[in-house]
Amino acid sequence: MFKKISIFFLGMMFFGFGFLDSSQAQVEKIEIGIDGLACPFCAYGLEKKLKKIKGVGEVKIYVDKGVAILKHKKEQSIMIDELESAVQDAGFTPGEIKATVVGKVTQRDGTLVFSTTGSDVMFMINENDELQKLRSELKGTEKQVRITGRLVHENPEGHHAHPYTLTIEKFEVI
Amino acid sequence: MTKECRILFGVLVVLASLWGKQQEVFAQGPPINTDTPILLGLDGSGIRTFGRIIYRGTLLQDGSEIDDPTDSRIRIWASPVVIPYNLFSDKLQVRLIVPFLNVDVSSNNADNSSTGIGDLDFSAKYEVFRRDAKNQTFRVASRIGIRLPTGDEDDMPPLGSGSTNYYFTTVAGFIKNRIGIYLEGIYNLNTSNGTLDLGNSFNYNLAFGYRLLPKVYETYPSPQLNGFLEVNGTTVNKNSLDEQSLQNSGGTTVFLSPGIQYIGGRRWLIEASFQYPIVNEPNGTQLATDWTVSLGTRILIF
Repeated sequence: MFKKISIFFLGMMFFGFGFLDSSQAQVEKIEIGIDGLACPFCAYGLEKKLKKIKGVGEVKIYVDKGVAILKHKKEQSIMIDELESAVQDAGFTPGEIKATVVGKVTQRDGTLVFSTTGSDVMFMINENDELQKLRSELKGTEKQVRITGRLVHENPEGHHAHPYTLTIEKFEVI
Repeated sequence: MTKECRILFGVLVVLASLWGKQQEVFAQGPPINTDTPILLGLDGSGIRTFGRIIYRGTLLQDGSEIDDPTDSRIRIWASPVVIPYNLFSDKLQVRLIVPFLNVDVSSNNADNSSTGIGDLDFSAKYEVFRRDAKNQTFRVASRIGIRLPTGDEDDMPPLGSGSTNYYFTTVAGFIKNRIGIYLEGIYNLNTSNGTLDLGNSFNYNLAFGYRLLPKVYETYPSPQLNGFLEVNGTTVNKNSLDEQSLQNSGGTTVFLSPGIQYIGGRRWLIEASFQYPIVNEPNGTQLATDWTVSLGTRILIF
């Protein structure tokens, strides 16, 4: 009986980890512009607040470039929704956001969106040449894709739409 | 005026000038002798200490040096503990200053010394304007403060004013890449201590800062060396005793203040500044400040 229970829980753990991996490994890296970051001694609170964002494993602040780069914790996704408020709470103004995200390009209500299996988070994708290339490469399939692109806070209309839209700069079909 | 009165008022004037400068000297981030509108990092939450020596040994009459037959000297060592705390997304800062003082007065025929806590200082600073861009920021902040008469005013020499005093500050700062420029005005409203009314004063500060090293600041945190050149001025109204204006009180002093600052990590810096008077015009006959040396550290604990 004990053996059966152990096997059941082990199975649940593997299932759980697998689910976590596929559903949450969506935002791997963020590069966010930090306007007002002209004094390096001011960056202490910024670093602390960025590290508190759910899913963030590593934070590097490049003062003269005026950007912070956030990398995700293994098997976790960075909570983009917390980004801008963290920067504002640290006393700065959030600038341009670039993200590396993993997921699938799908179509919802006639609009192209980028989503990840098992997650409600979807980004609407802006039309550009890179999207055309990605479409022709995918040929209608729903393969996993790693996209690096610009996120713009636009509050687009649409079911489950994330407040950011994604403009693809480069992609890799996984 | 007797020698004792002159020394007493001399100490009060130095203390008043110290109180007026508390907000600029003991609490600001970079620069060293001028406040900053930036309430972040080493300017934000954390405990700071500062050692400051003020030396007065030159007797001036209407701005010109004269012989002092009593050879009077005033030396003040001030070590305040500054405890700021940030609230509301780092837009509001409340701050308590506990000043530890050692005041030493000497002349040909007497030496007197007092040691203890001076007047407690409580204030709140609010960021009223901010405009950020890449690698630059322009911010304005205002502060209101109160100094409570906790220092012993009956000690000789006194450690406190014996009156509740107020101050109002506005500071603007612009930082772009390696350069920082700061401008500050402080109005000190002093109330009376029985029959003695210390004159109100106005402090005005201009600071220019430059990041000497590193030339390119890459990843935070990196060691950083800053140089500062500041102009720190004070104009004090005459004191009055029994509603009679005292001719040998008040005046204007403007210091040129070079300084250097080393930021060694996320949580600490050390800094030093020397102040030399370029305008030294106390009213009537008064001991004037010869120089001021400041050496300090700031440590972030929150």
